[in-house]
Amino acid sequence: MSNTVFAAGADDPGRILRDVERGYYLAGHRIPSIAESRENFRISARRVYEIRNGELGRLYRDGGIMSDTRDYLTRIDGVGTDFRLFPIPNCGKGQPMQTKRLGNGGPTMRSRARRRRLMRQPRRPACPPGASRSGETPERPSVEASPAGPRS
Amino acid sequence: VTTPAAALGPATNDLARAAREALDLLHATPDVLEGEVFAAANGQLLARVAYASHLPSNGLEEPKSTVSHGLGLQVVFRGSDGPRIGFGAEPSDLSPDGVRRALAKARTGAVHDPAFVSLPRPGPERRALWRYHDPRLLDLDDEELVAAGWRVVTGALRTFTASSRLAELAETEEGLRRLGLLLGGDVTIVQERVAIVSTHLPEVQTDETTLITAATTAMVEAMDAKGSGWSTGTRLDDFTDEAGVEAAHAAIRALGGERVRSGRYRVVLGPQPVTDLLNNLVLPALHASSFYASTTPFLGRFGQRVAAPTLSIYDHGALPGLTGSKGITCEGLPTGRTELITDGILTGLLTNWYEAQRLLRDPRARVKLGVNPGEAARGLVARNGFRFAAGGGRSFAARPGTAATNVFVEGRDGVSLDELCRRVGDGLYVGRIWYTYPINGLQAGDFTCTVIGDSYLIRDGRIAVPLKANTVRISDNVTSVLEGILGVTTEAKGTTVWGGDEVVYAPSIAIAGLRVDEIAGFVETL
Repeated sequence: MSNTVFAAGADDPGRILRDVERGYYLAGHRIPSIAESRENFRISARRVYEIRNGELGRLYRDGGIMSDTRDYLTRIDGVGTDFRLFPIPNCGKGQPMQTKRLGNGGPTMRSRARRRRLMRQPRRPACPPGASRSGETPERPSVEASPAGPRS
Repeated sequence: VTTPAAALGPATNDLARAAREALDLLHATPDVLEGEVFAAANGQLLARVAYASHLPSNGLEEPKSTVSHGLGLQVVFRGSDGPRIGFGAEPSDLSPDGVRRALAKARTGAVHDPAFVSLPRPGPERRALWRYHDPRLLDLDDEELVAAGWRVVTGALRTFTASSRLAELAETEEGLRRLGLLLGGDVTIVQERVAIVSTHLPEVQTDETTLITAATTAMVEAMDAKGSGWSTGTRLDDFTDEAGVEAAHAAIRALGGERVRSGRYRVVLGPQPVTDLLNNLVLPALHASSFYASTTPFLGRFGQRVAAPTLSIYDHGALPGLTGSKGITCEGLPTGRTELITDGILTGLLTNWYEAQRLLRDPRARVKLGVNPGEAARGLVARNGFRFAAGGGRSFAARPGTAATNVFVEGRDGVSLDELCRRVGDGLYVGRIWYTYPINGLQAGDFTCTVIGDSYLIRDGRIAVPLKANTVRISDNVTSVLEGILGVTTEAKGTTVWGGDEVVYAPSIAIAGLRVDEIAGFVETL
């Protein structure tokens, strides 16, 4: 692998969110767990916002999604214009350990998956898709980026 | 493949001499207050197993080796704002020029660290393990490496061809090949030679370590049946075809796997899942650094119950003949036994010298540990300061981290696997998991993984039929796993997992309940 990404789409990221009547917006990723042939994945987000009537609401922590990969990919119905590539320092191949710098990335993306474990966080202003807090890297709902990378 | 013995670089005596000379150079440097020299030469030899009955294959692919040597310096400099600590390393050059370059790097990177107390100092414990390595593994030549790989391959093929179940399915020899008999994996040999000397440990100490491991996966591809096998050891004479034989047997046993529905199941975890959970969750949660950083699910629970009363876990790096044993740590301190969880009570932590000093002097140690630091001091002895490089070896280019050695998981009243299955009644035996990670950060204790083989349905207290590989995901919390233990087997197996430094002598453990989700149903329609 070198740079493996979801390509940008034509949708306004804000519109992708506003069209959701009830759902969740996942921002930032933690370490993911993929099935052996990548047929299923579970990934946790650093922040999970409830979406109600197109607006970001309550913030949760320690939440994430799980899905069969085919189901997730075939149910995508919104792909944003806000593509971003993230650097990954280690492809994770072994053994012996081999390292290679690579990139994963993608835009804001909307699909369907099973929700997994949400812990309520104190309320604080949400950072909408495509926007950036002052001095903070814009976050995306990460579905593919892996700090550990695949392992053989 | 290079000739490993020649490529491993300087002999242990050369490392010792270089370390002595380097420390003399440090002590002759006016602004050096304390110094430590760690010289190392490491070799990792690997024979890749890749056999397929129905495709062109060599059986054994790309035998290869990686070797390195060099030295690393930890140096405490006199500074205007107090002592400054720095680290510098130099590869492939043990000469005074190499030492000066490493010293310059240490000086450039030196910082004032308010948590730094001193470089490691000797304690009351003495080294217990001497001359325990296998000279044959330390000087292994190319032919012996390849022969070790073939031993595993032939063990698997012998098992496949002797199987009456496969013979029934195949009918002919050609039919047997068409079943798609696969074997993949590797045989890995690690050769380590180190020397260390410091201001506070002024006698040069050396250590030589060897280990040999094999890990394989076998498949009957046409039947989507998969099994795994592995072995760990320290001597070439003791290396057998176990990993190949075991993998092939497990693949044959996996014929006719079934799915299960999502739900909460009583589960027996075999040695590999026990090791994977320890490697990715339990042991990191027992590092002193995790308490200092408040990232452990056991925060503030030193001396308290963190697991079922039957469970004990300890680390012991000084037992002869065990794969994770070392004579000394990479800080020059003796290895030994550290009680971690005793009858369910948190009794000790894995630590190196720096982390122990830092945590014991932390103003918030009382909150982080849950007891006064003095009460925890006996459980915070620096027996685990190692500079392990990923995939094996003691790296001269790294400062000491913390790593377990040989980890023992024991039950107060050990039972047989049959008894564990009886206790489960109806449930699952899970024999191999992967991508086991603390999905919400270590402190939350949440983990997830998928079951990729060697697993079965337990019905009426007995192992009944195979669980089809890659059809369930486990999502649960490690604290509830530790608290929900129903029993532990007396039998244990030395087990390593991907990326793990330690060897876990892992039993099978029965758990009261694990959340299981059925996954990838669409694969059945492909």
